[in-house]
Amino acid sequence: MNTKATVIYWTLFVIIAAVGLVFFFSGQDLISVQSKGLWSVNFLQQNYLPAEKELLQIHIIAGKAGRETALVLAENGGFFPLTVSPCGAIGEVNLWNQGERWCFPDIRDSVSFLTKEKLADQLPEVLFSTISYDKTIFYGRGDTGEIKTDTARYFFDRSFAVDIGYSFEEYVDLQSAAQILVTQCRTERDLPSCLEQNLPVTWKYHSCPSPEPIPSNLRTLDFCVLSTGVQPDQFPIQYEIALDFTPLEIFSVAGITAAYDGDTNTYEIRFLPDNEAEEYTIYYTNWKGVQGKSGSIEDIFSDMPAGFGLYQKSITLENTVELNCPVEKEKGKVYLCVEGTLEVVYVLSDQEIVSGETYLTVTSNRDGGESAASGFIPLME
Amino acid sequence: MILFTKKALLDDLVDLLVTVIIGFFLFFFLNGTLTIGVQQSNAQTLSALTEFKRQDAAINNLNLRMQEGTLTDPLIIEALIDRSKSLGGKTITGCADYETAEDCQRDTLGIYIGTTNYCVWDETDKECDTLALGTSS
Repeated sequence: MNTKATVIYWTLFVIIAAVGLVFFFSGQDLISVQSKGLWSVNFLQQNYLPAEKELLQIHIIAGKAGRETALVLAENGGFFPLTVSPCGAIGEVNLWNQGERWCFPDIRDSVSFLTKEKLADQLPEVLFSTISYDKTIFYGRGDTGEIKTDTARYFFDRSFAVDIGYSFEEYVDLQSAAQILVTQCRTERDLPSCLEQNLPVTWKYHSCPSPEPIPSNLRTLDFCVLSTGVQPDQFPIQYEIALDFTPLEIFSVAGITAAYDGDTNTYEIRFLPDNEAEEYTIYYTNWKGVQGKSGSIEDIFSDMPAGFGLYQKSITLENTVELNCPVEKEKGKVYLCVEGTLEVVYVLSDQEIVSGETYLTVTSNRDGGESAASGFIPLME
Repeated sequence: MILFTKKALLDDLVDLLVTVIIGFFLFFFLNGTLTIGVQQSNAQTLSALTEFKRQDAAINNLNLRMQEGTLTDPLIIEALIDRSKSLGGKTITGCADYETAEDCQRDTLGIYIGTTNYCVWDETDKECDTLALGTSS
């Protein structure tokens, strides 16, 4: 072999040996070629995906917190749990009104506060600044999250917006329905009838699953209202609210009658009771001028001339609540009788009463005020 | 004076042939090994991307279920993502992701095998519902 051939010969062996050495030192896969886009793939797998999972988790927890908040608020008439409405409560049911005053809860504030409390428990590492709602979308502004690995840092917004299938704006409809109901029925003496006619179908007295008949002796009532904005089987919202139907002005006394008892020379006065009245006042007079008059007692008797043997007498009666109706009734005592209808009975005895020339009316009193007189009836034998 | 003897010419010819043959095999050897390396690299990347796509699609599926209000437990997210599989390019995370009655009823990917749920096709809404064992639609 000449020199030239020897050089070529050994060069080839050197190349083969070099290739062999490369294969040997480059690892198990002959020549190890790294994955393409290794950093990008690692970024997606180790930064982006964990962030997406965390966001999904935040959304699930926030949605659940939103639904729980809706349930808790509804159970408390929109008020924060364990707080009592400024208008008071019937048992544990918060009143939305009292007299002329309305005490509607601030739903937006309650939702924000209550949800923040729940989220702080379940997601203590995330800070939420604003929590509110728009129709059925429940949303919150969260802080910036960070997923850090050896080769990358990924920042993402931890805010959420979840459709919870329920709108807190339903309270606006409820409040307007409550106002209409109170306006319609507060002035009605027969409250149960008025409510039966005007109560929306989703409103039930006292209980949603087993509603009770509306009692005639109460004017502050608690209602269970079924939500119309959600599917009851998926997300059953039941509002517990109470309304005060106490009339702003005292009802004038109705159904006044007088029956003469010749044996005792007394008059049995009867009239319909008023549960809101603290006491009643019987007025009787021999002034014929009261005939056909009604309204304020003060106004009616302001026209009565002095002298001429005219008198105006009054007797104040306690409003008795318990039924008490003996057959033999004593003079000067008040009874509550049920003889067909519920009536207050009083036996009046006065030697000055002249049949056909004495006129009588009854008023009711509450909180220092007096009702108008509905009219005078003559006392006849 | 250079003499080209017969032996010298023969040696040169042998050298040439040996060089050509070795070069030829070396070319194929190097080409093959380098190609395999690149292909493996491609396969690794594609596999990683496929896995990413599967997980990302599973998260999207779960987002949809969350918005529908049917996913309320954050603790099962990881298990649901791990269990998701691909069917004809579509990632199936739960019954609701099956598009045909056949796939739904058979639970083609066996998503719910070993769990307490099963899939039932709702003919009215044309969708696949998840039911707990022991219950029926």
